[in-house]
Amino acid sequence: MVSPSSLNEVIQELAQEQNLTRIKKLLVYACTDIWESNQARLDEFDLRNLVQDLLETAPTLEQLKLYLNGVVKTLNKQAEYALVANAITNVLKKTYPDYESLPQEVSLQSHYRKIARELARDREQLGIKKLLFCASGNHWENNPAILDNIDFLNLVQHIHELAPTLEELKNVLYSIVKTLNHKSKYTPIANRIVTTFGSLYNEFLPDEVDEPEPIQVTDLPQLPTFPSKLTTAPKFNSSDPQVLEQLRRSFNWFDLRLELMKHANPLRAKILIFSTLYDQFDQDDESWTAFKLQTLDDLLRDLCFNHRSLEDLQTKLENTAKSLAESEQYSQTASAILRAAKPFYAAGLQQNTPVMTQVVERSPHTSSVPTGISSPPNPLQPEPPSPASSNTPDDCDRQRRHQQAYEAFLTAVEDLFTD
Amino acid sequence: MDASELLNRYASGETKFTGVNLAGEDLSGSDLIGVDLSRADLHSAVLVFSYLNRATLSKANLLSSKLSGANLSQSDLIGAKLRDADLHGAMLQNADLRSADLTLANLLDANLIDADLRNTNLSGANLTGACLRGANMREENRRYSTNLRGANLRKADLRGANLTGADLARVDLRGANLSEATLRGADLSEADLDEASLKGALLTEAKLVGANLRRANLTNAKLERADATEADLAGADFQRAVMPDIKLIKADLRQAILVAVRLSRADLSRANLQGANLRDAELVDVYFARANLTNADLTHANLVRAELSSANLMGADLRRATLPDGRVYD
Repeated sequence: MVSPSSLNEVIQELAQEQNLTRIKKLLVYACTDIWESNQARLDEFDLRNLVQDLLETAPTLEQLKLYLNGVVKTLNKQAEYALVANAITNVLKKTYPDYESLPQEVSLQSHYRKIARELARDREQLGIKKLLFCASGNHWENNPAILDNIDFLNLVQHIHELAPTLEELKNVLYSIVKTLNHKSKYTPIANRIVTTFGSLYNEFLPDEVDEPEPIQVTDLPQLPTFPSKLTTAPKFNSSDPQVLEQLRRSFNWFDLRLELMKHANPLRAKILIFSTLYDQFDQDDESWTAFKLQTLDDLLRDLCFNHRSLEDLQTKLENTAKSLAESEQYSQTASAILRAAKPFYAAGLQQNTPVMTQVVERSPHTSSVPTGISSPPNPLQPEPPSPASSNTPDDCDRQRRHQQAYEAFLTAVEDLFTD
Repeated sequence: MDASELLNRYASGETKFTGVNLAGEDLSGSDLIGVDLSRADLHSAVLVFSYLNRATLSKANLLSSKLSGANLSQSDLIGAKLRDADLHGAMLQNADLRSADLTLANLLDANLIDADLRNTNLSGANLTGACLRGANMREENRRYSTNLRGANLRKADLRGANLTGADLARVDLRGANLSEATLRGADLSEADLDEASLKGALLTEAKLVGANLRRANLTNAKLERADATEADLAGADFQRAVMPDIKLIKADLRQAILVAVRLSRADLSRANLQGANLRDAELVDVYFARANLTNADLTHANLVRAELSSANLMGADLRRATLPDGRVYD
């Protein structure tokens, strides 16, 4: 029986973990067999109940490890969730009576210091830090000020706690590299990390390493809709809402908007983008109301995240401009948008894969932007202009994108078997 | 006078139309660059996408007019009545809006770069997404300041704006860009600044009582003597912020990043600092009465003379911290 005080302690510790969301997802899945990716529903689960359930299921530390390993093997993002499972085990091990702190701890510390020193001296130390920071359950951080404040020693220690075998370390590093735009730059960096960590793993072998079991496709705990499949397939890390959000935040959208406002009429820019993303804009009352709910900022983000290259964007904007009345005005607007969007594409922030999240998922009405006091709240929400039953060219385009995304998803699933 | 007469006379070279009555007329898309319509009655007029660059519209009645997408750059709108006007996506760059009445106006995504907004009444206006870089909102004296009471400034770009002493109580500033803005002595009590950027902002003596600053970016901000009692600052990033003598009584600072902040003499009584990162922070003479520092990272922090006797330090990391008595913890 676990003492209440140690249970409190581990729950508090878990609650402080940086990747709490993933921890909770895994706990919920381990305890209920439900893969819950909805944050609100996830929040409803009580951490204490989950931990208690899990401790009842696994009365010994060994059983806990075996059980969580088994659960992780049914997931798509195995490398990432293996680390999540380790994080859970690391915290929960304190509740088992036979747990004693490692006698090796002192010598481990000196190893950590040695590795940290070595990595900090490396020419690519910034890249190493970015990769390690991301691997320890965080987002991809580009801000040098934040990176500066991250200590290599803590990072090394944390990584070792999360990935007790070299195999696990490799898996997670390379699966992150796969999602990056600069793969060729980061592959040697990952290699360097693996080599540097090698001595540590050779000296301190973990208790046991389980033989990997074959993966059952039917066990993939994913929802049967496209977007959620995409977000959990390893290749699509960049469409993971968290990563996507991080990208959105790290880029200076204010500067992009400022650049656009200096050279274009904001209202024309909005109409052009809206027409490019959704349906043709006609200024009847319903479209107008829907349109008034959108901010230029939202529209610009959607526009950039849904076009893979500047050329792609140019073609789409120019075609839309031609189809609008006063097309000359809109052609000018199109070129201003392209100029403003350049830094976004230069920074390599666009998606590598077709994204389903915005254009398809979102109708202009779903975002609840306050319309301001001047326009009274509209009780009659007009029908979204886009998902009509007729087969418009836009629909074909969407179907094509669905198809592409689905094929990419299948490739990703195949990759799970070939690795 | 009706719309066609105005356009005909303007086409033949006439530009002065002071005091004319054009109420309710449809002038959308018309080219009236440099026209003088001062004191004209244009209430409810439709001026969508019109070109009114450098127009004189001082003291014009533009009540409830439709000016969305209109180009009003460098126009003179001194004392204009723009109450309830629709200026959605309008271009007001370098416009002079001193003493104009924009109460309840819709300025969604409007370009107000370098506009003069001194003594402008923007109470209840919708400024969502508006760009106000370089706009002049300086308080000349108590009676001559920009009124933003009840305005919506979500995602507005106010970088570098001078908002000294501005009344921004309960204003919606979610996701707004206030980096490098001057907010000295501004009233931001109960304002919503969720995810706002306040990088390097000057918030000396600002009132932040009960404000929501969740996930806000306050790196390098200056908050000396500010009052953030009961503010929600969970997860906010304060790296290297300078905030001696700040009041953070009962503030929620869970998981806040307070790396290398200067917090000397701050009042953190009953504040919740669970899991906060206070590494390298200067915490000399800080009052931590009944503060919750569970699992906080205090490594390398300077806690000389700090009042910690009733603080909860369970799980806090004090390695290499300088303790109240001057000893270094190891």
